[in-house]
Amino acid sequence: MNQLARLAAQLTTPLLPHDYLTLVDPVLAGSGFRARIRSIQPETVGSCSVEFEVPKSFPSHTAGQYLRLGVDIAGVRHWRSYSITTPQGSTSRRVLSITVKETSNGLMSGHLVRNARAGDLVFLEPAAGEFVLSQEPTELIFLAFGSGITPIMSMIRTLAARGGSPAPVLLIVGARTEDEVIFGEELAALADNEPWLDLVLWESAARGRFDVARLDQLAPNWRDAQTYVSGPSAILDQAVDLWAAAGLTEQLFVERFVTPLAHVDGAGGEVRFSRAGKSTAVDGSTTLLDAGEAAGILMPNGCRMGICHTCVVPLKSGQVRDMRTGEVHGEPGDIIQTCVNAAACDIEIDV
Amino acid sequence: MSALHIVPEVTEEPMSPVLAHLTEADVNEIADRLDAIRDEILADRGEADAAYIRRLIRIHRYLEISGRFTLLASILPPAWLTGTTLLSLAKIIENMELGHNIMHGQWDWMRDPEIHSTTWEWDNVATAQDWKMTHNSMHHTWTNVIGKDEDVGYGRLRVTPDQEWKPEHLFQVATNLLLMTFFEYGISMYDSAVNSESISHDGLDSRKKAIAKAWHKIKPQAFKDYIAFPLLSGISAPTTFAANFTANVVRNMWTHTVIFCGHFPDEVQYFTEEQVEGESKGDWYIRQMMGSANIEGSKLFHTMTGNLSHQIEHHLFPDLPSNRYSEIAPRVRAVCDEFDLPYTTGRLSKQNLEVWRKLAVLSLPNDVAAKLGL
Ligand code: FES
Repeated sequence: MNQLARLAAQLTTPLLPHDYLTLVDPVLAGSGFRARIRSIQPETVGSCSVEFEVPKSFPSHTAGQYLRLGVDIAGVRHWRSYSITTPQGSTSRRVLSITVKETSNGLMSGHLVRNARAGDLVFLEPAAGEFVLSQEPTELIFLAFGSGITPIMSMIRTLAARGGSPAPVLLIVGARTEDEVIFGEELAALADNEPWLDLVLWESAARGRFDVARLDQLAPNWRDAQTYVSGPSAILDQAVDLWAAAGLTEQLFVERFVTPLAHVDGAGGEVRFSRAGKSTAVDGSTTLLDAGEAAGILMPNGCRMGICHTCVVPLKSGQVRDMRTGEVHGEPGDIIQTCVNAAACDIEIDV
Repeated sequence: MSALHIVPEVTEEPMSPVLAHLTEADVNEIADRLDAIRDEILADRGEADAAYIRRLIRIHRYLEISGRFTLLASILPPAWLTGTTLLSLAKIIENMELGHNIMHGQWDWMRDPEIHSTTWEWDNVATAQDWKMTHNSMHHTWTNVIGKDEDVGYGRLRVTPDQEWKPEHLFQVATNLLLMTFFEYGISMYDSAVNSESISHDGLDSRKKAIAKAWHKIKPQAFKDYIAFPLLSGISAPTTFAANFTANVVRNMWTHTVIFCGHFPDEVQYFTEEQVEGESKGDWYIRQMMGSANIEGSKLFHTMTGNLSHQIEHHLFPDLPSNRYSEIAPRVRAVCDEFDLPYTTGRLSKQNLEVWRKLAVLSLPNDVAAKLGL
């Protein structure tokens, strides 16, 4: 088989045999994992679950993990992370789903909720993340706020599929109103039928913002349980402080959806050159190429005016400003031209 | 200092006589106009462009597959002719509209790792990496600057009277015929030579390395066309060999012709290093326009030249998607007209005639040519 593949590659060089396979269907081959959207189910207003059948070779996930999803929007590939909401293992057909809530100016979430259709091609990176069920059967508390329910949903579905949890599970779900609880009906039904699951609904419109200090009333035993919390940063920070004060940090698991985005004002920042292991502070009007060279880094370069693309390096984090147009842009993994871009905030580039 | 920071300055001597009438304000105005065209296209790039390049990629692959399959029966003359035609077309599209343009980064904005300047490799014996170095960064930055842009004659041909005459130029028409036939090997050797000089100066060692690298690319290319596919054709082996050789030569002659018509017709101008010193963005744009020539033709013709028939627009904006050059061409031309700048364009036959005539005339020393009234 390997021999055959090698022979085929000699015939198709400089292309690869899979470049021809993609003529049949781009989902069959090509760089990375590919899938087609099977269905899109509306959940609450402004949220939906997107289901796709993943290739056999796609590594299986653990409940609570997320995957990176790539979608071409207006010709440009965008990548975002979404928690997988399907239970772990079990299913024979490798169907995965994610649940997306549209955020304001959310390019990708808006596209998935409003424009995506069954049959669309998507790109996947294997599941990752440390926010997963621990092995020991202990009491569990889940605190899920807004779209923070998604990784926890996979955990609850996994427990339900296994026939329940050996120890009691308390789920506190927060949303503005009951209508806005994603998976509201499914959760209510589970809580009715499953003796191991208790559900507390926290409607912030009526009861105000949830305060983790309330746990003393809602779950007096929280010090003995493993707690998983997922939702907006403010609540996560509160929880981290509370558990730290109790000296129980190992019993708390936190899922942050949005990595705190660096302050982007186009005014420069600290540039880290990861391979060279160097950093330097630059202003917003020095090109990354000039900054790198001034820091003694061997920067690839050619025309130094944005036309030849010799100077491109991958961006690892942060955003850059195109000095020709003033546009602030960049996502992790983007290939940027260092000769015409300046740091828009603290950034890291792979050179 | 990056070129972005260069402040325009009035040069005592204008770049060339045709530019003598331009004021500094004119030059800046030209830069602004051209920048505006570029920004407009950038803002408008999207789905339809992505669909265009993907369609071209599919067309190339279908042409290649059907050509290769037809040639399995190449012992039959009609199959030979059809297969060779299909394969030649495939190779031309692959090298020009795909390879050349993708490696320019014209499609990097899509963020598709399979259509990206950093990952693309082409069906040509010159390696993508070497070619990007000499072509994108040297030729496009220093277009037509004698001594800086080695593409001015590729180190062998004399294409402007300002280049020094050497006895080898006497045979340059023949040299060019040979270069045209084996263009891909010419480019490969030329890239290795230029790059091994510019990358390191440790003489022999870097030269050896460059040759090893070139060979690394040539080997699988030659194996595919001259051993593997002929063998697969069984009884048709010799005819398939001939067909593949022909397809490579057809592609070589075509790319050579398009490229030479883009930079060597009569009205195209060349520059000295002193002329471009302290060049502003507007000066740079003007040099690109003066140093390039377009070829007129149908839509299909433009596609088959990889849109290098819009050489002027390509040189102004080497990383704009090629499918947009034809739409901006009239606007670029309008800028030239307004500022009384030449915009060189003509049919392939005319441009090609000028190229060969020029090579013939310049094969003689300037004084001899003058005496003969050439
Ligand atoms: S050095 Fe040429 S594009 Fe950056």
